[in-house]
This record gives sequence, structure tokens and C-alpha cells, in this order.
Amino acid sequence: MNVPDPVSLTGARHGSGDGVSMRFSFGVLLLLFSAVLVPAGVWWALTVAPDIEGMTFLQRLVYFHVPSALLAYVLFTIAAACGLLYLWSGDGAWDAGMVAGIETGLLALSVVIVTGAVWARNEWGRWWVWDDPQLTSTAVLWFAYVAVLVVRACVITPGDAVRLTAVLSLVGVLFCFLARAIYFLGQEQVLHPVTVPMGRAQGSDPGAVADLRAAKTIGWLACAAVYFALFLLRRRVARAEQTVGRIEARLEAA
Amino acid sequence: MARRRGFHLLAAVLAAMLAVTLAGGIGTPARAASGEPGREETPPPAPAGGDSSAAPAPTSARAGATNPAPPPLTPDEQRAQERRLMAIAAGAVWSLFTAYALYLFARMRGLERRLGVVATEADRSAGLGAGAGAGDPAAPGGR
Repeated sequence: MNVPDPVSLTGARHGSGDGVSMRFSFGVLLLLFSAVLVPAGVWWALTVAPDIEGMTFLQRLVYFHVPSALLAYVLFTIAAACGLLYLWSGDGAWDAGMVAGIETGLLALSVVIVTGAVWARNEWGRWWVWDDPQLTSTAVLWFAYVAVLVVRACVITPGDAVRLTAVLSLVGVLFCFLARAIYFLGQEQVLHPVTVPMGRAQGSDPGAVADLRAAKTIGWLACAAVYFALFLLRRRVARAEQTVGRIEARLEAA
Repeated sequence: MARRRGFHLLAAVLAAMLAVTLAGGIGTPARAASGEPGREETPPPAPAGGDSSAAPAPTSARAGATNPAPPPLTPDEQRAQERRLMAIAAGAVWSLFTAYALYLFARMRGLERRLGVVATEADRSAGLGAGAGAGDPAAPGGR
């Protein structure tokens, strides 16, 4: 009986044939990198970054809110690209990338919603405002991608589930672009703030502006490291599941 | 199976987060720092040529009910509210990442369990193959 080497996730079983070992992978290294960057980013945002005139202390959430939002769109776009490539080639590797992109994008979008709601509670006195197209489109996007995952989990036939997810991820990314278009085209209509006025950082002191830029940069790097590390790890888990599924199918057939 | 369990876990964490958020919302006074869309109480226009102090009580813009306008936050109250909200944000984001990490961990555990079953099955198949072919030199695996 020719059984391929099993996958190794935590070192319990070692294998090299499938190339899915979790140890020393780029994702793990990126996760370790983010374990340093995230505390540094939080510390910098809360203590070093200057106050901005006319804005409260909670504006510091923006150093994680904005990168999370844009990275969520990037991850959904990656998921859609993987979905397209899966429909084109039928290769399971693209399915793994697609599901990883959707899940990590959804995580990033959840962070966006949570940080935005907390900021709104302080600034506007409400957690959520349905009058704003930016907020509403973000909520719809979140529910749409949750629905994609639920549909994927509910469809029994694996091939159908993957194809359906691929098609829905392509539809979802179109909605992502629509949400961005709403944000850029309707800036005068939205309540959602458009930019952080960096010039108002402590009276435009050059040192304060430099600290603010550093906070933004560290926030971006930290968010990118976390989300892409999780993306790679999730993709690796999905690949390992596919490999185990193939082995199971082969054993059943034997 | 592991996938369903992961979804149940995620749903439970999301429900807990929602409960915490709602509890925080009930506990936090509904007063805005800048008061843009959260300004539920709209001050009535002062009567033309009249004394503004004689104006009626503020009226809710949406419900039309008469409510007193909340007093503005003092700097100390504002600072306390900001600290509380920052703690809620940090807790919620931490919960999200923890939930996702738990979800990934649950999938890995499920995968390891499946691997154990696969390995047992493979060993059994290999043993059966060797046993069946032991006495038959022509059989696959036979000596």
C-alpha cells in the first residue's frame, strides 16, 4: 500500500513528501515578527503619537482601523483572484488561498467594524449610524462574506462548495470595489471621516508630525504582518486538510 | 466535523463579543464628544426677537419626545469614557484574534485526529497485505 507521507502541523508526525510542514514556514516567521511589531505599534500609537487638534484620544485607533480596512480589501481581492484561478485550473492550491483570503479578510473587516464602532461611540454618541453609506456598505460586505463561508460549510459536495465559493468571492470583490467607490465619490455625503489631518498634530510641530508618520508606518507594518501571517497559516492548514482528504479517499478506494 | 465545531466556536465567541459590546453600550452614557450624528436632542430655535431662556425644552429629532438635553461631559468624565472605550476596543480586538487562533487550533487538532485514523488504517491495510501475501510468492507483497 503506497501511502504518502502524512502532514505535520505541530511536530507530532513529520513528513516531507507533501511540503506542508508548519515548522519554520514563512507564515510562522511572519507571525513571530508581528508578535514584536504589534505591541510596538500599540505602544507607539498610545504613548508616542501626538494628539491631533480637535480630535479625542480615541483617534489613535485609526492607526489600526485604516490599515485593517485596506488590507481586508486586499485579502478579499486575493481570494477572488484565487477563486478565478481555481475555476480556470481546478487546482486545490487556489482553493486553499481563496478560503484563507476570505477568512483573514473577514477578520480584518471585523477589526475595522469594532474599532470604528468604539470611535463612533465616543465621537457621535452611538455605536453605529445607518445613515452613512460607508458604514452600511462595510456591514453589508461583512455579512456577505460570512454568508459565503456559511454556504461553503453547508454544501455537502466538496467540489460544488469550492466552485460556489469561487463564484461568490468574485461577486464579493465587486462589492468591495463598490464600497471603495462610495467612499471616494461620496466624501461630502458621508459622516465617516475621510482623512486624519496630520497638519493639526500639536500645532504642526515637525517632530510631532514625524511621530505621527512613524505611528502610521508601524501600524501598517504590524497589521500587514499579522494578517498575512494568518493568511499563510490558514492556507497551510487548508492545504494539509486537502492532503489528508486525498489520503483518506485513497484508503477508502483501496 | 472539525469545520462545524470551528464554526460553532466562532459563533459562540462572536455572540459573547456582541453581549459584551451591548453591555458596554448600556453602561456608557450616550453623550458624544463632538456630538455630530449622535446628537439626539436638537435644541429648538430661539423665538424671533424673544428671550432665548424662555424657549421650550429640547425635542428629540426622531421620536418627537420631550427630553432634557444631556449636560456636556466634564474633562474628567470625557477622559474616563475614552479610557473605558479604549479598553472595550482592545478587549474586542484581542477576542477576535484569540477566536481566530482558537479556530485555527481546533482545525489543526481535528486534522491530527484524522491523521491518526489514516495512519491506523494504513498500518492495518499494510498488515493485511503482508499477511495475505506471506504464503503466496506471486501475490503483491509476498515473499
